[in-house]
Amino acid sequence: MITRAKPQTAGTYPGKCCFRASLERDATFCDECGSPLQRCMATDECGGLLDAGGCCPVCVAPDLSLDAGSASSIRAGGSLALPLLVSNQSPVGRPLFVEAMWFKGGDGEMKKVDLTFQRLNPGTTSEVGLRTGVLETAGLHRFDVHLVVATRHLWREERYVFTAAIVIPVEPEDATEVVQNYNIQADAIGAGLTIYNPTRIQKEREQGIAKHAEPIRLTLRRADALDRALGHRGYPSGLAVTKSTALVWKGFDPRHVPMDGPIRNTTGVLEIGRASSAGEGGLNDVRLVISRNGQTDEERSVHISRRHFQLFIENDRLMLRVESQNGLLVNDIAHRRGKMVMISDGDVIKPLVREPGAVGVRVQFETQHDEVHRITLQRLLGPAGS
Amino acid sequence: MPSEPVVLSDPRMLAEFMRQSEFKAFFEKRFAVPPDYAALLFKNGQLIDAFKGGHFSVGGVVDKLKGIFGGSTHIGMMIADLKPFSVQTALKALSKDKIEIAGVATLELQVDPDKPSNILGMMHGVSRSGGDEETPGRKALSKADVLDRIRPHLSDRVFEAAIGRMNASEIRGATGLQDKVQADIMLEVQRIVGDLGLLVRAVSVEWAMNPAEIEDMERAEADRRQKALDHRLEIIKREIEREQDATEFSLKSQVDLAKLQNASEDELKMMALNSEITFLDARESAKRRQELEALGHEIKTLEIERKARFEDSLATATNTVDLLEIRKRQAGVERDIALIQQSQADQMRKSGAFTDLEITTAVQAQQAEHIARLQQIEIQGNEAEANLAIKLSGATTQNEISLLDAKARSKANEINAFKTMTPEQILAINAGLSSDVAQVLAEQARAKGSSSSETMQAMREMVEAATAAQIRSEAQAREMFKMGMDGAVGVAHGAGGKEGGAAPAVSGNSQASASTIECPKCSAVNLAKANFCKQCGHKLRT
Repeated sequence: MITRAKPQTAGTYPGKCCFRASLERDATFCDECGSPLQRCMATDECGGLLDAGGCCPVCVAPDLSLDAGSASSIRAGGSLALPLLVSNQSPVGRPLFVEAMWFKGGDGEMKKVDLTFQRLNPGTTSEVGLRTGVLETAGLHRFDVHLVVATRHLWREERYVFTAAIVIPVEPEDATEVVQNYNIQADAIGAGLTIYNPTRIQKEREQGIAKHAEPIRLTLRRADALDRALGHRGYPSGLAVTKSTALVWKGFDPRHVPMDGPIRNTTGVLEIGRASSAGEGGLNDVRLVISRNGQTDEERSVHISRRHFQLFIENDRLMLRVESQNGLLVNDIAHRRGKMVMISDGDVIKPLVREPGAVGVRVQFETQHDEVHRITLQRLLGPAGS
Repeated sequence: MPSEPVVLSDPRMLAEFMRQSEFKAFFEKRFAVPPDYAALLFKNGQLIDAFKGGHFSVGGVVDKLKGIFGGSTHIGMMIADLKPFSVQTALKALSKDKIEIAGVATLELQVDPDKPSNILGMMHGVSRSGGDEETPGRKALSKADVLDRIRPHLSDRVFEAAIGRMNASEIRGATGLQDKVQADIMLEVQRIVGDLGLLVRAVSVEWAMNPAEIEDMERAEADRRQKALDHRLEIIKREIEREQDATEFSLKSQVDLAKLQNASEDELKMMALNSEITFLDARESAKRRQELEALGHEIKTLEIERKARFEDSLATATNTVDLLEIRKRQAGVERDIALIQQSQADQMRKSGAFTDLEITTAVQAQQAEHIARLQQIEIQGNEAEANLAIKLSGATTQNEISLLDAKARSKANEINAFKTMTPEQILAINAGLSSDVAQVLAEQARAKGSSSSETMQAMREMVEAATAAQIRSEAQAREMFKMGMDGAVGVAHGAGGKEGGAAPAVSGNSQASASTIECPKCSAVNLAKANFCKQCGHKLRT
């Protein structure tokens, strides 16, 4: 049995300095290397920073092993059972949700594995049984196991696809068979002669197939391409909004919006509504009101809830969660409170359902390759008094 | 009364019925069946008895009378040969390496002497009327019929199955295979006609030459030829050596014989210099010239022949080891030939039958050819080296891969190490503190905090303090808590910390203003040592 380990590309972020800087709750940048601090959504529980792939290694620590006693080599023409153990190694007591498992054999076809469990509490282990098909040809056969796991915090969920490769050597069929002749007195069958009964002894078979006594740990790697291919992260078009994507606010009062740049608060959620913004000593991140030339139209602005909606980045997508009792419109489709909507390029958020033209926020993406590097949020105001 | 012997009408027959007409006679008739035959007697269609040899007496007056009173009786007899007999059948099968194997299988069969009557089962439907007028319509079983009966069962079940397991080159002389074929045929025949009274005593297969063997044979033949050539070369070498050893010369001198006999070596040399004596070769120059030319020609032919054979070997060499071996031999032979040529040139010179110019030209030509060949050998050597270099670089790549593996493993170990730690410890270790210090801090934090969030908050503060104070060992950490966190800087030094690592204690308010800086962009207060603003990321130092 060969497990193939490939180290993840070690980026400079997050460095030790970043962890040290993140100890200060209000810090949004590392004061030593200047990197924006991307905190885990459950940072209150885990205190972790996201790695370069957007994954919190403290919360998301799945472990995949090949159970002890499973066969690790086989002859051509046979098939193998692969008993796997999936466990949650999170050291901070965060549960892990196994959403799906895929098995890709030598034929290149991905087969979904039926799972009997979803929630994995920290330190617990569940078992999954896989079977290879008939392995016709000798040589090294590689099997890939893709594990889709999710970590949840409040209403938010981040999904990641991990992959592990199992390489199984398949021996050629041509075993050097030992032909051993047993002499049998053939009186028993009435022939009156001595006949030979050739019995083939396949030594290797009798000795049993090579097994291993302890579980073999399989190295799980993040599979970012599969994240997108399986539709767990990013947009269907292949675009991804990462935690480092900069938000640019246009058409807002500069005092009402945070500085342009990535979402930097501890929770990673921007609160948007009528109530005062942080800059003015309030709790909102963005203050959204109907105003012209610095003058707030209080009469009309009152229809905007104090906290109307939230914007955050989840699974490499820009997401909106409706907080207002009255709901809101995204591209003229109404969404009620608690609903989560994926925001795409060109979408217009209209907070007032009854007066959609009064105020809106247009979202525009600027992309580099398949990554959105800037999102412009422009406040749109309808004609005065309309 | 003499007995009439009853035997099979043809040696190819195995068993046959005697017609009743043969028994009919006015007088009693006696028949003798030899002891190596089984005789089966039938009366009115019923098998009465079976004998191994014996005498029978049938017919005659008594029988006739019996016939008159008691009705007629039908007597029949079948005789079967009990001696073992052999039949041969051709076989053809594919070996494991997909080479067609042909052969002849010889089966030693016998009618079961204990149950000869069972042979009746094989007579079914076999009747011959043939051209033999004496036995018209006689029912018989020939040995060929037996073979026809069992042959179809053997081709795939036995021959293909057995031969398909072995490579063509391993089949000849494999007694294991012979045993297997024999045993399988015995089983098959037992299965098909065992209860019909037929036994297999032995089976052997003679193999025809298969293509793999023919190839081997040709190779061996080529080797033999090669050896013969080597041998000839050796003989020629010796001839030349002999030639050198046996060259005769005579002295022609005008000097007194007695003086000559008494002269020392040096004196003789002096005489030769003064042309008082001259050396005369005993042979005739022309003859020697002819001989040497013939020899030269032979050497050349041999060389060309050997070169062609080496090229052939090189082309058919299957692996590098063979290749190197061949090249080594080639180089050796080239050297031998060069030596021979050199001696020949010496001979030419010595003989005096060639002019200097001729010798020089011949030697130059030989040298030119020789150098060309040496170059070729060198080129081939370079090729072999290049192959080796490719293998070596393969090994380097392997090495790099294992290095990467090792790195991955160490990373995995690091992650594993986290498993046993508490979140507080991880926090501390991530912030660059040692695991011992992390443990002490975690203990303290748990002691201070009542809920997990409080613990984490306390931990954060402590980690910050410990980092600033450059706490590096467990002793320093414990000392820090003993003295209170504010005095941590001094503790670090007192407990053996490095000098010059003085950093401000963050919790000391009095020092705060001196050790902080305001961000020009967002006005956030940062530590003076900060490179970037913790609030807006603005670069504070250039």
